[in-house]
Amino acid sequence: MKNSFFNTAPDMEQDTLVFRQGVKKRSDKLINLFLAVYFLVGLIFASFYDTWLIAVGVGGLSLIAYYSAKAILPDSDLYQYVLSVILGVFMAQYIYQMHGLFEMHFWAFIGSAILITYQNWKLQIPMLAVVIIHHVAFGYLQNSGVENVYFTQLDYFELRTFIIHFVLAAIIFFICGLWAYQLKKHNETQIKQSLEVGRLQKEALLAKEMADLQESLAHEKYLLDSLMDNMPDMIYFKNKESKLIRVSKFMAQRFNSRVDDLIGKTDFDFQDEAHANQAFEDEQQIMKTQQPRIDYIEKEIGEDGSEHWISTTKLPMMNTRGEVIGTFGMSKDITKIKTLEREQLNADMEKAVAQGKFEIASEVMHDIGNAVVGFGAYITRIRRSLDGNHPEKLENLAGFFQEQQPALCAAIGETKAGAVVSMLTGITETQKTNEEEIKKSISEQQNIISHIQEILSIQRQYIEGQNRQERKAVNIRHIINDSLSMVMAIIEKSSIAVTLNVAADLPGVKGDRTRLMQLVLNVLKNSIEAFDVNTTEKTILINAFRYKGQLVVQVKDTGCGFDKSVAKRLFERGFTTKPSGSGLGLYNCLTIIESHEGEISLTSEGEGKGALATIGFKI
Amino acid sequence: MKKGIVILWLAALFVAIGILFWRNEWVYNLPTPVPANYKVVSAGAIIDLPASAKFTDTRPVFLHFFNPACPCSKFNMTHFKSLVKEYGKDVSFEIVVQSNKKYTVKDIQDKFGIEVPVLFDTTLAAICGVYSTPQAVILDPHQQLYYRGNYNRSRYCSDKKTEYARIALDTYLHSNTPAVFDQYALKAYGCQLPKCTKP
Repeated sequence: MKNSFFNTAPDMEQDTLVFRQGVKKRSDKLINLFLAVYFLVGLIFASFYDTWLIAVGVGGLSLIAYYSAKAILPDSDLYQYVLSVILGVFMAQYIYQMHGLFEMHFWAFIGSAILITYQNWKLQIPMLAVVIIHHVAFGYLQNSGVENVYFTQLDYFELRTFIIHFVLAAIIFFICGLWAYQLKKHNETQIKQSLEVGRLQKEALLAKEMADLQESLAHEKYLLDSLMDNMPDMIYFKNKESKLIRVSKFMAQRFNSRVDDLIGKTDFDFQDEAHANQAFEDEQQIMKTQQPRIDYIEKEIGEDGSEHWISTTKLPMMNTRGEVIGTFGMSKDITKIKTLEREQLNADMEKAVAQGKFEIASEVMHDIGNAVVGFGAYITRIRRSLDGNHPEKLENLAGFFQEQQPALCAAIGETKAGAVVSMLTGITETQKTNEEEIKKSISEQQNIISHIQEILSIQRQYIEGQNRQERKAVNIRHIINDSLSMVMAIIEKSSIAVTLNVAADLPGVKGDRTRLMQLVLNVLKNSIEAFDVNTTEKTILINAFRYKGQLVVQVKDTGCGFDKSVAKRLFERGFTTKPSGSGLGLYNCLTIIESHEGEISLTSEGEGKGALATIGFKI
Repeated sequence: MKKGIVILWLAALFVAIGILFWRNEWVYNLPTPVPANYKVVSAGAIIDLPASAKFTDTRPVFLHFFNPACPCSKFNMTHFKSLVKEYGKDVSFEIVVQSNKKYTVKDIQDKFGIEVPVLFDTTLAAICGVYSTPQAVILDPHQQLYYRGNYNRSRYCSDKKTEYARIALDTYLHSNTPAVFDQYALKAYGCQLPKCTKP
């Protein structure tokens, strides 16, 4: 693995180079300042002994040498060596300018110290060379004029002093060179150390990243393993040759194999050829087009001949560079879903048939209802016709003939008169008997019609319950008023006093207006029918009010009431205490109130003590 | 290639610096070349001074051969002043200007900061056997050459042991025995005299 992390040499070189350039730049700036001062010092010294030519000439040429070398070869260190030389030259210049003033030799030390800034010990050498050449030249020149060397104005400057002078100068140059060298070395070491520290930090960071990565990988693997080991689906990854590289446990089990045994195999190894061919072609196509195939459903026939439905999704598998390296996918056995779907379909069909039946039944019952109403109307007409008959007239006629029998005997003979009277009396009797029979029969018919209508009402209620539609708000005051007007004739005929007490601001009740009217009517009818002929005080009190989130309608009568045993069975289907009752009235009420999510109760303190019907609606 | 040119260029510059040093200093470390037509004037010889430099009193005469453009003369000025200050009462000091430039007496006196007679007679040098500056010539009242030589072994006149001119003056004034000078004193060092001044 190529990793620049562990290759510090270029870094070291780079950093050292950058550092050296920093030193160079910084030093160059300082040197500009120093050289300006050097030149100025030369001018100041010139004023002492009138040495302007040397000050300007030598100083100027020195500066030209330094700056021209620097300008032409800025990247080379040459100009630094030139600097070293000219610092020596400046020293010579000052010595000359100041009349050989011994202290001017200290400029050698100043120059030597200045050169440390470049951290290059070799820079000491050119200046040292200049100093040596300078002194040697003097020695040679003076020696060639006269014997014995003399180039000092100091009387004590003997050979010993001269040697000390040279040794000290050499030591200074050496020490300055040493400092330069050590500075450089120290800085390089520091760079190396900081690089090392940086490297270690990076390594530590890398190690941590690696650990984190491993942890993350382990976690991801755990998640993938969980998926592959536990999902009841066939999940698989295949390479470009459609060879399995990873399969879920479920898939292995389905093919009666182990996960490891399937790795490296193709569909041809464990599927029938047609199926394997199809899968292979699909996968090649997916890799070629890079288009996934999602949720396509296939039917498979199992070894036992059973039918299986499989939903499959296959996708192209890409590497990080976006190149296709295989496919992966998931196949799910959806036979159960398919079966459920089929069952659902059947159920829907049945429901539709049932719905049809309901509709037919509803229509049939409607027609029957119409027919019954018609039948009832005719019966009523017959009864009215009967009521319009006057049998007493025929009786009067028979009585008249009986009274006039003596006269009649005189007219038509006694035998015939007796026969006429006897016949009329017989007809009258027969007529009377027949009429009573017919009336009884009509009354029975009316009961039967009422019975049929109640049955129809319950059946309609049931049918409507199947397809209940959204109900509208109904004003309960109107319901009560309308119901009262319908039974007003009987109420008046029966001399019943009705007290109506309906609160003004009652809210509407969501419901079926007709059904609710039927409910109120039934309750009213029960109250009306609860009065005996002999009852002296016949009153019905109707209250409607709001109570604890409910709209309550109360119908209280002073009728015959009922005992506890009756109370228990009041709402049973078919239970009645009336000779002509069907036992469906209250049952019907209960059905209606339940379909309106309300409640109904009927109570009595006992026989002869009246009854109280209470209906509650949610508001 | 570039580096080669730079080195050549630098070499030229340093040669120029060398020339400057040579002409202003190093060359004076060598004895001044003796002119071809030089006539040796030995100590004790009678010097026939021209009218301009005739003795005005009976004091010995100290002639200071001075060239304002000569570096050695410049460095020597302080020393000369000190001699004038010390022996001015006993000796008649005169400055003999050796230059082809025009100077006034005041110019020269201003340079030294002392009032000493200034001579511009260019023949004096040859008469006294002088061929460089700075040179000291001491004539006794009888116009006999007592000393002609350097001021100091050091070109900066700072070596007390070799203040030859002072020693000569001192010996002449305070000792009966004549001074003995070595080659450092008598072999002329310093600037050559300007060529146009030659007769």
